[in-house]
Amino acid sequence: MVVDAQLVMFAIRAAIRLGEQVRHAYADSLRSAAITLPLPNFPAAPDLSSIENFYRDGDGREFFPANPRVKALVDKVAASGPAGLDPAENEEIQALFGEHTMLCRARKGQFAGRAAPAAPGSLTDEDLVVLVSVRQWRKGHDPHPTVLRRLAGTLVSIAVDYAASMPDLANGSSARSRLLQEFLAGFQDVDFVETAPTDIVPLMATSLLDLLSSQPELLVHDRRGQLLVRHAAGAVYEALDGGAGTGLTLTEKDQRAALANGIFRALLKGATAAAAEDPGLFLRASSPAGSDLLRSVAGALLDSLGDAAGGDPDRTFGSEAFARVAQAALLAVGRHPELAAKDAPFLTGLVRATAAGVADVLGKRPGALDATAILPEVLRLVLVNTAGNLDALVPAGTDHPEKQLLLVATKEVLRALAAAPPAGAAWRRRFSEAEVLRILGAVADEAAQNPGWVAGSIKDPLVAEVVRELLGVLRSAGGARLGSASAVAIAETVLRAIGRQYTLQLKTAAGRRYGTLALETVLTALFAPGVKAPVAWVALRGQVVEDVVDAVFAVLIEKAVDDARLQALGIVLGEALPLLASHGAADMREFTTVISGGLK
Amino acid sequence: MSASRTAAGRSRFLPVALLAVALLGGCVSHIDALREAERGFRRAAEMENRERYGDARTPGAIESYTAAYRISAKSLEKLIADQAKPLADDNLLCTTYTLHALALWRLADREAAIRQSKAALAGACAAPETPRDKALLVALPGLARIDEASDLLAKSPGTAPPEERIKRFGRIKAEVTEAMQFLADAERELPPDHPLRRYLALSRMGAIRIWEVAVTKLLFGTDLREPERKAALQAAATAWGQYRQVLQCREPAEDPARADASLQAWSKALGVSAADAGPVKCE
Repeated sequence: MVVDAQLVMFAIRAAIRLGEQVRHAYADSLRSAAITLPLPNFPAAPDLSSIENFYRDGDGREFFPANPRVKALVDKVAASGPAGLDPAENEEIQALFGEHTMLCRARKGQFAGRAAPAAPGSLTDEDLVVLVSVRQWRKGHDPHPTVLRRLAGTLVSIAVDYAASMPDLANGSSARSRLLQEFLAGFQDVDFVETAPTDIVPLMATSLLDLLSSQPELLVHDRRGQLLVRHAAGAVYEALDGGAGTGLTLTEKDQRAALANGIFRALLKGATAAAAEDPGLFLRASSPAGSDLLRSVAGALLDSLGDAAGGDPDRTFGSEAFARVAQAALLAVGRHPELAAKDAPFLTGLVRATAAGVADVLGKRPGALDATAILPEVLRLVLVNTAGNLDALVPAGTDHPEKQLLLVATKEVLRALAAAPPAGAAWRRRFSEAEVLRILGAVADEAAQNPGWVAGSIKDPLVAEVVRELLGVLRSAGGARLGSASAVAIAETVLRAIGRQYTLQLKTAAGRRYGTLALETVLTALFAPGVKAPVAWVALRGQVVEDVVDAVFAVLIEKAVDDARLQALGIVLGEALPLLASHGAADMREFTTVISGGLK
Repeated sequence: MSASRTAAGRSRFLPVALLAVALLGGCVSHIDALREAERGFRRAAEMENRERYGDARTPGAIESYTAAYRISAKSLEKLIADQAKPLADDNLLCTTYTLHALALWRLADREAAIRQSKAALAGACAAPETPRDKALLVALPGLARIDEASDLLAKSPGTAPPEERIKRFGRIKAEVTEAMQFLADAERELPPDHPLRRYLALSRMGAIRIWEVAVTKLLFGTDLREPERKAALQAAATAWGQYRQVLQCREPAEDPARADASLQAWSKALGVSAADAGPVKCE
């Protein structure tokens, strides 16, 4: 009982002490904050008084004597007032004023750059947004100059909201409390500058508390987690502060802050997930030197994904998908720090080129596939596989991320998969986003294991050519009822087979590839109009079709392909498929044996 | 065993933590209330500026920002009445008075706004601790006079006899002249590079626009017209030069191209020759 009373009194004293300090900081932040001031009422738009001043004494005075019409109209206003002009004359003098103003500005070169004139009748954004937002103190004279003090009120409000569900936040020695302190300590010494993106700090605090409440085990277990949080927060803040943020509208700045916050969440999730794959990387990310790693990834994602994410990447891509992108980027840079070297911003370029490539391909086929579902996984595939094959996949050097071979291949394959079926195609189904990603995954996997798939041509890599041929065969020889999932499985099988058996990627004298010809032979044997009824019956089952293709290509991997074997394949399928159908399509081992025997 | 001990500790700590939160929440309620009022005022001001001076009109915007000013004014009035002591202890009373006076001004209760600004300058804002707030209170009678002049201009018929038009012009010019005097007084309260100078410069140019338009609308066909047009234009050139000085020397804009666009737009509206002004000389 005594212990309880002491505990209560201690807590009350602590709360009062804390309350005093926090209250002062809160009050300081409110007194310092910029307020938006309303302008008094006045006629802002140029009118006849502006026009007269322009022609009589201003930049347009050369036109006054030279242009009798201008003089006549201006004199009429002076003599009779604005009502002295009829509507047509009013329109005429406004048009003349517009032309002459533009002429004067063009002579002075004032249309160079982005300095566009204000819209007619309005003040500029600079007037309405920036100039009327006024701080209490001028720059460098704020008596409460740190970001933390500036934001104290907001941060306390956020913590109070979470305190009810996480009471251990108030216990200074709890793991979660230490983690939050570490996060805040990262901003302790950051000097406040009016243009610094301070809004990001409360956003990140909220993200951190959200993560802690939903996944308490995620980061709190040891000191490395705390350091990781501190470094990630610092990296994101620096990326936002140092990036190309000037000249943006308020909406664009908000979107950039939301994107940065999404990157912070993704970095925390991605780094902890990457730790399972590469514990050494986790050690690096939580070490002082590791902040470079986080900074480079944060900067690359922030500067390259702005357009694609359109603000909150979690909402656009899904938080798990975006965390996987961050994880892939961390692993890539962790293993190859040169990817993000300051003098060769390859990573930023690669992410930007990938985002632009996906948008370009899918933008030409609107509605075919959802870019926001495709992009994160394509980014992940490109980043993960780049790290493992840097020399082979980047022959043009890290100055040319757009020529990364896997990126080029992925783009071309995506273009083929998004294309509409040609006129007269027998198989007309389209692929879902998940199915497209499965094929792209197989392509990336193959290219990572054998860069020869992508190394031959930068414009049209072999793997893209093969995928186009496979799709062509599926479209022309596939049965109308063949499901798109089965088509994906077939494509994966054939790609892997070609990757393992060199002769399958060779071409006949007629210029057809043996691998795609073999698939055409199988599909014709299953779906051609004249096939026997039992075969047509079993071919209605997608799994049987997949198994047949698997079995045939398993045999072809073992045996080199040539014209004679290809011809034999058609014959042996004519015997083996009815046999398979008559056995209830269950005995694939027997079927494989027959095929193998027939291709000796 | 250890799990149950942890659970017991947690259950014992929860009410203490909640108590701490309650204590913390209780002692900042006046700051919370002020923050809410300030947010409401800021939203209203942004909406009004865009509606009056932006290039698009939104249906219902006038009602929205008027209601937001009214709510803000009411809660600030209540704060001053009930929480003056804690606000003064936290050095927030001057800011509260300033926001209240500004809200009353935007609700067109100009006399009450001026009364409130005088009361604040004589009391809570007498010390120079909050330069923006103090200068705004000094400027406020001038801002109210600009609105007064604008109202007079809008209500002046351009078809009245010359004597009546000249008389009306005289009243408008008197309001503008006094307004500019108050704005100059406010500037004297500020250090050279304080950001409020931008706002005061914009307001001064706005006042001169009223003068210029009044010349065109009311003085046509009279001997007063040309000297008054020249005088207004001279004042406009001076005000535009001061604005350029603030933008380019004292408070360099984050984006110089946008600042240039603003200068061009004002030069066009005022009819001022940017070329005649010569290059800007920063001290």
